[in-house]
Amino acid sequence: MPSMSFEMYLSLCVALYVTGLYILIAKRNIIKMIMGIEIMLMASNLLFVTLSIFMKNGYIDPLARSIVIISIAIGGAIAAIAISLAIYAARLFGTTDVTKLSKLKG
Amino acid sequence: MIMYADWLIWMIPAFMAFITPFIARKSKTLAGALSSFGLLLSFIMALSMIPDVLNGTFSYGSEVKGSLPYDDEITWIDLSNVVNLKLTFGMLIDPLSVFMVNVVSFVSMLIFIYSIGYMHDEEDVGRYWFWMNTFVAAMLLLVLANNLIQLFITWEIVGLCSWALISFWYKSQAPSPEPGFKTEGEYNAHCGFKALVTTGFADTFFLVAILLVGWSTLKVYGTPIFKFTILAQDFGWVGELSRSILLPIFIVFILSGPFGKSAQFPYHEWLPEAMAGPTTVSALIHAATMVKAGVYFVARMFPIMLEASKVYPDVKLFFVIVAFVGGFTAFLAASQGMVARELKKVLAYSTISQIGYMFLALGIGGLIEEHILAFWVALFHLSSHAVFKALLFLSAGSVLHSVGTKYLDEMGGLKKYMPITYIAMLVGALALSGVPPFSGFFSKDEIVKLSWESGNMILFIFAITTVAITIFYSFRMIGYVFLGEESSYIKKKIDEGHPPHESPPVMTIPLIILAGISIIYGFMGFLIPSFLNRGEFWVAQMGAKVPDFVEFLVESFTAMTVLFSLVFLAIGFLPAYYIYITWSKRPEDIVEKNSLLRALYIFLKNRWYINAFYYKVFVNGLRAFSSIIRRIQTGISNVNIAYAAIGIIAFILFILLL
Repeated sequence: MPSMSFEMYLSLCVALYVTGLYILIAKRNIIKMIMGIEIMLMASNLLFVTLSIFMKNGYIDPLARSIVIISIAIGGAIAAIAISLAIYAARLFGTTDVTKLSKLKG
Repeated sequence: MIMYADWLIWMIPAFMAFITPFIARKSKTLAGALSSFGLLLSFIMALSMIPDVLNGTFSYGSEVKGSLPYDDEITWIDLSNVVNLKLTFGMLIDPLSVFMVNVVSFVSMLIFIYSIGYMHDEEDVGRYWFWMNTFVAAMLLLVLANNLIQLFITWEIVGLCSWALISFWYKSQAPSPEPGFKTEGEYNAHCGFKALVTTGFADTFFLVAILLVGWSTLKVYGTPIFKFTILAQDFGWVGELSRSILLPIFIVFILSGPFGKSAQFPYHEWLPEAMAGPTTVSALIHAATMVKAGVYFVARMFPIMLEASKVYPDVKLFFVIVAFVGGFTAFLAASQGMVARELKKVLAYSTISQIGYMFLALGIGGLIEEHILAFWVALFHLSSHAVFKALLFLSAGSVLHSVGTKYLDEMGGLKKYMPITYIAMLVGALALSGVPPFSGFFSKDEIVKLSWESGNMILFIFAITTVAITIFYSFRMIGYVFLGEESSYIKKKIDEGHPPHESPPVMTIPLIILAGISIIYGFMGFLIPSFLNRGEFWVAQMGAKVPDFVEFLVESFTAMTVLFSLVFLAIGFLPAYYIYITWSKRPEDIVEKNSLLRALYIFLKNRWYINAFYYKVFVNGLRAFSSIIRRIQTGISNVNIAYAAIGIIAFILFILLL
């Protein structure tokens, strides 16, 4: 059995998720926002793994873990696309501040 | 009926809509000729349905398939595995729909032929023919629709086509005729949107009413029913509505759609602006399609509501609203027509006014004993109006095409340059104002008679004063355009070597045909009741008497109200004669001298201030409101994410607390 209890893992997931959400809402730097997205992604991956262990005693669900592996791979792809978009946005506008990435009035 | 005529009749214009844009790139004339040919085929299909009505059977060729009214339908949406819902898509063949397809396809065909000449010098003819064909196809499908859902869909297609056609000249760079717009094209686009938004606003209520029908039939029969023939058989659904307090709401909402589409008060303000499109489009909207859809729908609901009102007297409200709104709109629009400065706007107001007459007749039909008489009078006026309004619009198009201005005071003295157009427009004006023996006399006089028989003095006063106003503005229009001296604008054009000229035969031949029909159509009025009475499921219960030709003529000319009509025609004609035909005094001088007339002139010129009121409340009000809530939209992604997070949290809390 893992050394930490289910509740501890769960609180860790929530903490990570809220951290990611806080970064998304509060931080203006586009790179930081991408990091926030990644943290939220990891929080949900961790939740999946936790549930795969704790849902049934003495048995680890392999399906949840395989999904998490796919999710990590997709997360990498998302990060790559997001960073490339960030680079283009930075080239176009000359800034990484999301509040300035606006061509419309207001 | 020709094999599958009820399907082909609208499929042919729909098919033409898709091929003409490609053909128009090669040859504009060919695209127009093909479209007109398609509508000729449609008209032949429509004609072939008449024997079916006369025999009271539905048949393909010689094979008899059933008796009228006949639902020729296919399954459209079948959800009976999941929920108890099955919608059909079908053609309802009964005298009313056959009557309507004949009127629509015939008038549209003449307008299409005329368009070949009228649109010859235009660009984007492919776009024009696409929308025109779609318009007619949707209208034919609308009058053939056998259920409310199908009717609503075609109803909206018609509205969309009107938007595209009214703002057809959105690229025009000429200076705007109204203040507040940069170019004429921008103004035209605004007019199109005004039509779309006004009718769309009305149609929202209409859709709610249709869903109310579905809801009440679901409660009574266990499945939503939208088919007219089934709705007319049993009125349990009306009872369900009247048991709750929904019946008045239902009646007001279901009338909202026709009032919006037919430009009746309080939705009438879109129609004068709809004149921004090409004249042929105005003719199509006013004579054959679009505004007639509302009258058609009320006529379609007429027997259902009438039978229901015998079981549930509250349903009488339907007819009261139709009669009073129709009568009031007839008067309101006619009064504004007296001061309009643009040639086409005079005709636009007269359309609203005449449609008001039709609604007046239908509304009175539910309130007096001779229901069927009112029903056929309304449809008689619909068809005669379709002919003479198409005639007037096409003559106006001929004038505009030749002089290049749309303002009445920039015309004048065109009689000697355009004799055929002059005669045609004069016939149209006489028919419109209801001078015997032109077609308008027979149909309009019956309506005046009905309003007298209804015993309601208000309705009668609306109807009879509108007669006087109508002849006044008709002859004001004729006087301004054709009689008197040439205006300085025309003189300048003559000096420049561009005198007004008669239009080519492709434009004048439809005018001559329509003028001929306007003269003789009134005498054929006695055929309409006998046509409409066949195969209607509800007529047999009425025991209606169908007049023959002699009876019809005698009744038309000897009714007591004819005297009233003639007196009021004289009251309207005499001032028009002194001012606009002899041109002994300039109308501006008369208005200037009399302060009462001047006040009236300003009041009418501002359209009773209803338009300004709508702009103030709906346009400016919406703008002010949106400038407040606009602040929510910062365009910063952090804020949007915060909103999303708040939304998700609220949703989870809602689920948890549920």
